[in-house]
Amino acid sequence: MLAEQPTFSIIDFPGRRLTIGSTSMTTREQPPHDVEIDSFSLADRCVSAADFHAFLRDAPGDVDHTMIDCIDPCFIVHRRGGFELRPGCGQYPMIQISFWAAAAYCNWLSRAEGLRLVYDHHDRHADLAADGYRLPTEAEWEAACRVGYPEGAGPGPDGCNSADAGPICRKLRAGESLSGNFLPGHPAPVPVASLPADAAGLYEMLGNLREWCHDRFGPYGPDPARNPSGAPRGSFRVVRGGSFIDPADTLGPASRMAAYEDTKCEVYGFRVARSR
Amino acid sequence: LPQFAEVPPQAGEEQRYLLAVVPTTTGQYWQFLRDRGITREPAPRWHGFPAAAGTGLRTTHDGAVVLDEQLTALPVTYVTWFGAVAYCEWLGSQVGMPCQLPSAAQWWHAAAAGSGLRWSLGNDFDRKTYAPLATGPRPVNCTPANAFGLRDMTGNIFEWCADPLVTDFRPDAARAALGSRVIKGGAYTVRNPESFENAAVFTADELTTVPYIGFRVLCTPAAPPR
Repeated sequence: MLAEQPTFSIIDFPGRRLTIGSTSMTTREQPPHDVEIDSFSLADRCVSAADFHAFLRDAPGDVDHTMIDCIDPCFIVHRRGGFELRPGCGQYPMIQISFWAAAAYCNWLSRAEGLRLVYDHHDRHADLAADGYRLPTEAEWEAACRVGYPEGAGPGPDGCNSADAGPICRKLRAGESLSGNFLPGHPAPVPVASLPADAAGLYEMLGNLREWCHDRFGPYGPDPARNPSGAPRGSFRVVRGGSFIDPADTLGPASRMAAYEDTKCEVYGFRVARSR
Repeated sequence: LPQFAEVPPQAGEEQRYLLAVVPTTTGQYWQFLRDRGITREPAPRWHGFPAAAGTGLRTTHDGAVVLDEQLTALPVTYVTWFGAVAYCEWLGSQVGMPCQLPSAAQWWHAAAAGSGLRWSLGNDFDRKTYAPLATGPRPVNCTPANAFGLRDMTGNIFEWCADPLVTDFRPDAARAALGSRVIKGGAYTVRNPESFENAAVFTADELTTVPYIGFRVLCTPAAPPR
């Protein structure tokens, strides 16, 4: 059991068949194709800096300095005593972590609940048959996001922390309180679950942070797929949902980007998932 | 003691200065600690060396700092901005010249060898030289000298500079420091070539102790008699 429970809640999604991808965005989303996915659970919000700090305090040996960056802007710094949460930064999403740091957090949650670990970061291997926590596959992420935005239209400029977010959203950005040494007037993350939830009860799926997904990035093919989990090889992972530096009209349930898996940057965060 | 290279002044400025050829090493920082008699007590504002071996300086279970003799050529890391400043002040008393951290502008001018280079050895990013895959810093002298005779300006470890991060927007003061200082040069932990550019400016919390930030010393010799 964990000493402190994480701030996110888990939402269950049924298995289903759906079409993912889009013809109206970039070539990355093409061609649209059918997938069938099993039931899964997805966190309603991204892992917060406070959530991640609880992990770093409990298991400081599970990450090293190649997996987490503590240079500005950041919500967690590393001082003589170890990783420290900057004052007032706990509710912001965890940023500046690589894919494998996100995977290490998932493993830590699994261990606390006695579940089988999905990731082995030394061998850079994953076992999707394990029942533990993991990152969502991009098909799961898209299926959940399509439940949240059934009409296909995203949230308006005040409901989505995109590059062109509206004034209500901009006021919530970290820079307005100098949190994490983000600076005023510049694009920055907003706290987790600070904007209205979508129809599925999920917070900030679109905008705020590009979210690490499980899949290695690769081009889509036309064939239907069952429980797709990414390209067999490569060092790039799928990131979903766009961030505070991406224009709102480039973001939607289908939009996808790639990120080098060792990248640590203030535009990448993550939420956890599990197979059911 | 560090070796210095002379940096010719920028156009419009008169003051020449000396900059250490390479970042301060664990061996040199150890000399400072020993000379100041503080190897056996913690100096929490200055450094926080890890307990595990491999970084040159480490902290034992009773709080003392020990040096691993075979690792004295590693750049010293896990030193805060204040520890870097304290070393500079001590070195000044040893060499009889004022020593300090370079400003970001001085660092940039020196790294670009006065000719506006993007990286310290030219305008092409040579990943094998600057940023080979690594899980920790390499010993100093890991890259060739630039036109000013300076080595390792690009890559390996970030280097503390004097400048604070400031903002004009703080409601309670016109221009307030945010507790962070400029770091320059890129490190083994970063990947994008842009992050290594001579002009690139990052900042970090000034009490940060991490394996990817170190520093080098700037000296200002007395002007020669006319």
